[in-house]
Amino acid sequence: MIYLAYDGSLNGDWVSRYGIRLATHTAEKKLTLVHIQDNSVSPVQVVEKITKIEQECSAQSIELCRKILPLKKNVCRSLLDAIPYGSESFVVCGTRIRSKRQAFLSGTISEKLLESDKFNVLAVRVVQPGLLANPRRFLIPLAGHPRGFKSAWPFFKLFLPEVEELYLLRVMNVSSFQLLHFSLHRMQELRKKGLKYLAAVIQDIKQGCGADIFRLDYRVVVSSDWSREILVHGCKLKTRMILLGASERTRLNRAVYADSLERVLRGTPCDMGIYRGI
Amino acid sequence: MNKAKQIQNVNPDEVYSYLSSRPEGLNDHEVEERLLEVGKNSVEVRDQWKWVRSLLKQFTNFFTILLNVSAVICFVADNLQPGESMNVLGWALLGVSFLNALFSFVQEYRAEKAMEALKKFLPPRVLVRRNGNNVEILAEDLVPGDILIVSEGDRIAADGRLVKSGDLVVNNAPLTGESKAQSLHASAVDKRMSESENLVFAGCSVFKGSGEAVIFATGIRTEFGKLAQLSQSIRRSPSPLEYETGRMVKILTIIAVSMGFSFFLYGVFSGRSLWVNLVFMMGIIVANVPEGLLPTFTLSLAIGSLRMAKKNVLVKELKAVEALGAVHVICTDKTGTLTHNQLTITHLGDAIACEKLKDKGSENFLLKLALSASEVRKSEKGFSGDPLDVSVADSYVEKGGDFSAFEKDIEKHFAFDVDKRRSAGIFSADSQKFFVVKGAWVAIRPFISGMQDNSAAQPVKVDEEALEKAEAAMRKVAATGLRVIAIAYSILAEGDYTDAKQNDLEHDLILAGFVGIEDPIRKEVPPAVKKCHDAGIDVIMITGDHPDTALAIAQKSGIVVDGQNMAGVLTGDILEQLTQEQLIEALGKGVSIFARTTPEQKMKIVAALKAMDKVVAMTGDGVNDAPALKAADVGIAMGKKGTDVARESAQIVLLDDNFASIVAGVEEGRAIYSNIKKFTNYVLVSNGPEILPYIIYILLPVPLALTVIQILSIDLGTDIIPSMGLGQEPPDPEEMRRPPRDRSEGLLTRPLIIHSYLFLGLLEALWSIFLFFFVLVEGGWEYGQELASNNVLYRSATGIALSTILLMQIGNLIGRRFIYRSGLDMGIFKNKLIFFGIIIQVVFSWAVLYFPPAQKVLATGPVSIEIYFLAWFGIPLIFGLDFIRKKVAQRG
Repeated sequence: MIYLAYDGSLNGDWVSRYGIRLATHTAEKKLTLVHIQDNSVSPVQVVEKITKIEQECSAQSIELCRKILPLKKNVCRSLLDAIPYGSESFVVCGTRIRSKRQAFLSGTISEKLLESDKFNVLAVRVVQPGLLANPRRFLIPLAGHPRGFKSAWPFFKLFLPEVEELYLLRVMNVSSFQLLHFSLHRMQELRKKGLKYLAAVIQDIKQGCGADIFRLDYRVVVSSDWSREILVHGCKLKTRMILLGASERTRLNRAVYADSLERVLRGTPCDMGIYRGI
Repeated sequence: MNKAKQIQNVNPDEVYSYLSSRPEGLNDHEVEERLLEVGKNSVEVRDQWKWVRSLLKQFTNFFTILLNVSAVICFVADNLQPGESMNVLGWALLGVSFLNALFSFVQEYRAEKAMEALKKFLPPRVLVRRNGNNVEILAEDLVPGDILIVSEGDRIAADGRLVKSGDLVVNNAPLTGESKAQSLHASAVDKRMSESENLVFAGCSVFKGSGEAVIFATGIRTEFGKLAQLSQSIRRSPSPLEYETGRMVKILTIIAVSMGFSFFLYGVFSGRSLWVNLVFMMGIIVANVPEGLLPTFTLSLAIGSLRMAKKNVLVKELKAVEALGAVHVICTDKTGTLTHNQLTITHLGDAIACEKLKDKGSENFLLKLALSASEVRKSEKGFSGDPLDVSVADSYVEKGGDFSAFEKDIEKHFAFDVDKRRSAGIFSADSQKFFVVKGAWVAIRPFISGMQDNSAAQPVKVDEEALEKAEAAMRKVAATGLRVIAIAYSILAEGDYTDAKQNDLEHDLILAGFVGIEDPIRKEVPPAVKKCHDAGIDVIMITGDHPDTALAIAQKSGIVVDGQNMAGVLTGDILEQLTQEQLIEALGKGVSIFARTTPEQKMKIVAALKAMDKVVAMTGDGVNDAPALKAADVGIAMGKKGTDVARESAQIVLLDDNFASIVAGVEEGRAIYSNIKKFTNYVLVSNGPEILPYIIYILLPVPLALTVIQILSIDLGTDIIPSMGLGQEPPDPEEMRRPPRDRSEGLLTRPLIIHSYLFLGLLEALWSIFLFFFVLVEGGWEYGQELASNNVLYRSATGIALSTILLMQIGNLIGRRFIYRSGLDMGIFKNKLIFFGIIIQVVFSWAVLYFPPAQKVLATGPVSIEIYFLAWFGIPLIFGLDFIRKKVAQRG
């Protein structure tokens, strides 16, 4: 079931299209819109906007279920109370439309939802509203997690019917000190390791999606700056959506990771989805 | 095509609803709300702390940290025991560290001007419809949902979906790199966003016509904004030299600190005073660190950049000077870089066999047809427009045609479509209306049903066989290096074709003939390509031309050998389908020509080459090339045909757009790297006589032969000019006959360390220390006897040690000019800086002994003239022994 955390803003309207898009690829063909009345947008305007979303839903044969709820302790708590926990729930929410102190995700409700670990969450930064949430060309950076593509799969599956091209990027992250000292041979070894990892991932994808339903290509780079590589490849490959996993590591790692994540969010040349599954 | 729609896929009347707008435009409340939420329509990302961060970053490298820590130790030492001039040393170290950081910061600051150039593409004011009225507003106040009204000459301020178009023709060059006019319409299309003819994009301009578009993206959300943002956020990868200097500095720093600290601990445990130990540790660190090396690097690169400028290679980032010398592959455009970009029609061929037309009437008719599908404007300076169209107009006039008269007969023009690869036009003549299509053969062939036969009164019907024959004939002409364009026409029925669509008219065309256009190769190109091949550098040509033309030009340039078949050519269609791995495989098999490619595909080729561990130099000229130029190892922009944005994003600008200038730059870059190796070797030699006195001092009960301030006088004083002299040595002709250097080798190799420290360094150390003790013993000093720092005998002894090192550096300097040759054979007067450096060493070696102000600062004293002559003997000693080593090494 797809849940849309909707705040009534223009950015919310853009993000809502992702909710609708993902709902079209579920068996239920149903989208639950959850709006918490925190008075940041006038209730009349919210209702008008939701009616428009409903029209878009019905144009795509999606049933929209409205949940306009009063504010409890805070917006995040209210959302957590309203959405059922579990792997069946997919929550679509937005990052900030404009950065606040250079941050798009940090300090937002979306960040808290991602951290909550109660359901699958996809926080979207919409950079290209004209795509109408139909990106078709994807870049999925992989950090080398032993689970491979498994954590991205539930989210990617929801986009699958409209994917035309998928690029996998494996950045073999090394420190800048190592980068300066590694021999070419060592670099090549690292690249081979990355290629081996991607070969296994590609096999998984082909098993999951069936061979050749979309164009699949991959890149392996050795770098001391993975966020830069994602931006450069997003630009070079003209991708329309970057799907990036939120860190599943320790809080300290997450804090370090968050800064680079924000850097990608700030510089992204296309729409970007930050996902975290359970 | 997928069911799900993007904004270009929806009907014009649905656009308003999708973008939360309406035909009469937004109201004031909506605008205010959206402006507050989305922000201003500005591509600039303001980061007020950017430059402060950048400046601070310059102080975080190992070398600068080391210098600063050393300075602090000096100030502490001066506090503990004033009067030893340690504070002077502290200030000197701080000064060096600050200058180093400032140099790097200025370099970075100068390179960040691309944003200013990008902003020029956006208009300050725009016309929009709001509350049902057309109003002019500041472009930065545009919001999503606004109705933008554009007309001829306007620049577009944001991305929008057309809802009305009155023959709108735009130039999307800033985004696509293709400087071609593109016709737009308002209907829904079944294409990708970047290929859609119903979208207008920020940064592009309106060539003619008018239109209304609903804005869907503003500011950094526009395609142009994303380019701008990426150009700002992409940090360039460190250059090969940066990697190597970084590695060298770290190794030297680790050696210096560990040596200094170990001997400090030894001193503490052997019962020496803290002060002595601190001075000692400082001495070891200062002796190990070649303080003058990094500023000399910068100066040498700066001198190199001046030399390159004389060869039409303008260097914007100093590190690119050397990076250019390290390239393995040069990816070059064809038009304008390998060729002159001066198109001339040299072949007017018939339709059947592409044979040269013989009669003037046929030639005139073919050119007339071609001209009707061309878009040129006549001015006092001649024709302007697309170079191909201009060449058609020039040829028409040259053959006696009256352009002004014919221009009046042209009724309609369909602009060149990049995807369709053809343009079209309608003109009337002899009370008939002709519809003409001009473009690539493959783009026109499907519509051909007849052929013009000049020997017959009527065109002949064609079958597949005739088309095959025509194609074979056309390819034969293309294989001579001509760009061949097909011209076809049909005679229209009477009627009004003002609103006619090109697609509706493109059927049953008669092939009128072929036009062969030549773009002559620059004469400097073939020798330059040969030079590249001799130097182990691969040249890859990337062009939008026909494969046959591309192959012919590549053969003429020497990129491929004569007679090579199409195996070395890959077309854009195939390239599009290849994965990176497949492309790497193709490149490995020797593909060196990419034909019929789009500017975007250039990135794919460069990425594959980089994945093959190649250092790639990439040329670019469009706004869309900006991020790629920043991400490339060496980004080269074209000075003449390039945009300001490309020039500001590149590290190197070719002032004459000439390929040969890139090769001249490569040669210069290689010479600079070779020179850097020479002066690194030179500078490290003096570390030997600087370190050894400290080791002897801590291990034995003897005075210190060289003080810290004396070491600095060498590293930051007398060694600088000779190093710069070595940095200015001209390129060795052999340099371009060697393959690109092995990247894994590095600047600080084991042989270089052994040669610098354990051979030449040790020689200098032994001779200077010998003379130091010789003076002491001659003056009555006895083993174990301590001498005060102001003792006259001690001052004379340290004076001769310093003087000997300075003089021996002359022998070292001359020897460093060549790997195997003596260095004298080139003449020391040819390189003025080397000559000046030698004079400085000689004068200073005398001054430290006999010139009172120098004696005072450096705490030295005089020696007898005979002993001073003994110091001179060090020059032939070091030079001679090194020359013997060279000869032995050469034989080996």
